Amino acid sequence: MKKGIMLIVTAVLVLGSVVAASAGERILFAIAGPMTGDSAAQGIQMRNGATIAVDEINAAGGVNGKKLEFIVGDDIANPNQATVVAQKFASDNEILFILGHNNSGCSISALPIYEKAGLPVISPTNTNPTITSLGYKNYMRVIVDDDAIVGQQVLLAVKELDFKKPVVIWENTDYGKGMREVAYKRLKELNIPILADESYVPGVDRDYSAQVTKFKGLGADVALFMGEYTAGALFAKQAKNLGLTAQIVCGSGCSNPKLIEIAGPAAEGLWALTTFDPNDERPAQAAFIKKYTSRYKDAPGEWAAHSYDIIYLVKKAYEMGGTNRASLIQKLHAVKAFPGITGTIQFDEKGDVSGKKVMVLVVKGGKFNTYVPKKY
Amino acid sequence: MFLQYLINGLSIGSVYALIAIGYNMVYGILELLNFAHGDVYAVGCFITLALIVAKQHLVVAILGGMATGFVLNLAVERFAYRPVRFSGRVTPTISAVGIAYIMRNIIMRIWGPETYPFDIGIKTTYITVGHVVFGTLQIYIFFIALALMLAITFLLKRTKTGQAVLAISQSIPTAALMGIPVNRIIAFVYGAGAALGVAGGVLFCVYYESIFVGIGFMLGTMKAWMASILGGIGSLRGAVIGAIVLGLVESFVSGYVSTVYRDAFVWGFLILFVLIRPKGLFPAQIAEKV
Repeated sequence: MKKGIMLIVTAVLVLGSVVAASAGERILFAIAGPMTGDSAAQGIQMRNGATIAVDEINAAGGVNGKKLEFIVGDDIANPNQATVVAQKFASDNEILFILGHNNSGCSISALPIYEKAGLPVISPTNTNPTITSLGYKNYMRVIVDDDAIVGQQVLLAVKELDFKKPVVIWENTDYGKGMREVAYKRLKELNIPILADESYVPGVDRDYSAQVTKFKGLGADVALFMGEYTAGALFAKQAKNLGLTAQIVCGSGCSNPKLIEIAGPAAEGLWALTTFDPNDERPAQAAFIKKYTSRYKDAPGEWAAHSYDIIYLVKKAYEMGGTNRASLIQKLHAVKAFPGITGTIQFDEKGDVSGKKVMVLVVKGGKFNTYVPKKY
Repeated sequence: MFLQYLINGLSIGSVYALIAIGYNMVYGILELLNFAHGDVYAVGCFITLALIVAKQHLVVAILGGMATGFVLNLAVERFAYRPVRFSGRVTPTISAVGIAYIMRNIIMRIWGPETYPFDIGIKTTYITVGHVVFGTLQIYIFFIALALMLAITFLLKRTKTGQAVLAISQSIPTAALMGIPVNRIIAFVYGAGAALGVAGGVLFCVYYESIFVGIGFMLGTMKAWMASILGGIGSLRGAVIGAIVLGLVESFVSGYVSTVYRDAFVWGFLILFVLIRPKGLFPAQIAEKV
């Protein structure tokens, strides 16, 4: 009897140490983004981009010999759900960092929880200008903010395409509101009055006839769209059906090929900005695009590309000594001029990057073509 | 622009009306707020899309979707509602909410949560008269809603089954004593309600050229319910008129007041209306408490 118990205890201890050892052999992180809902395509791209990076790194031996692994949390692009996801991650001591969230509103909601847990949060796609001014020392983003992106959106519409009668349509979230404020500021600087300003509720609203009718009645020649791809597609369709001739110029968030799938022929001529060019021919970028397209049968967008860069960036910081949450935050800030496929990444004290390019895409022949602006 | 807002409102109102008719029929019989109405017919709509993608003929696809809705609702009635039929008002409602979640998750499992383009071969031509644009489909939907309302009212008053339905709505035990096959008739009404819902849902998807998992909850549960409250729950005429009023209010508030606060205004209007006239525009003709 005693022998039996001794045997069992030994077995448990051996198993336990094996499990503990294997747990210590991995670096666990969490991806937080919309995996379901109207923005699901973006969350899924985040996951795919990260997966490519993780697989490449693990195949080459991992980070300091440890394998990267991740778990995924679905926030449905809903700030309330984002806090639920954040609670779950914050209570797991093994998670080293958070890749996410995709939507500015979700990050803003979740950051207090992450800060309390000391978790580094690196977002691939938050563009609301105010996030980095909220004082969260654990937050960084690898994308330029809407000050830069919407600034370009306005310049594209007004300087490059010569439109003079803009209307603004924005999604009623932190993301959309932030974009709208920048647009107002820039258009005021250029002395161009905004004819109308309408909003919609993303994920719920399907009917844009009221907005389209109003824009048509005012004779708008360009609609500055500030939202995500599903709404953009529906808006473009209804605009075409109801005879709105205004050109549609979108910010980021619409450069997803799913927009063309949903909108069909109504997407022709639509402009969108992006921080990653899906037609990029430079070697590192083209290799990534090829890998992504052959594995996922879809073109990679900025969500995938930035997530890919974040994983490699964390690898660099980890190898520099950022092996726990606090030191990782420190080392991430210490990385100088990291060459990512989306451009050079270096964080300032607020967690922002600067100097990364914003590119212009236009839908021609059913796909996004790269366009090089000439007048600004 | 006023005319365009009017047309927009009538269009969306007609779509709401189609869904609300099915919803009201069920309420009228059993005084159950069928919170699963929307999500059950959403499954039917996805089946229609799946059949089209599988290269079936348009009519086959729509009938297939409607049949799915019919059968599904029969099953739901048999297993989720009948056992709790006489357990008061709360239990069946909770049962309905549970079914709604199950349906929604089935859709998400099979088709995912994304928005899909909904192209079943019905193309809308858009006609421009002066400054106003409207589609031929909008006209069809409007008249289909009206026709259905008249047809069902007629069926209820003039056919034996219709009379049986009215009898059941007045008192189930008495109807049973009179020899009316209560269970069969109730099941039929549920099924028909779902089939109508699928028809309405499919037209909605054709109109907006897109489908996603939320059409059930958004349209069937929320809008149909609001339309029924406005029009008078249990009344078919009320369902249609209430739905059109709802569509018009949404359109005009969006156009003239604000798109940002549209929902706040619409709900405020609803609350005000209920305070002034709780019975709705056309008090029930089916559900009668003698």
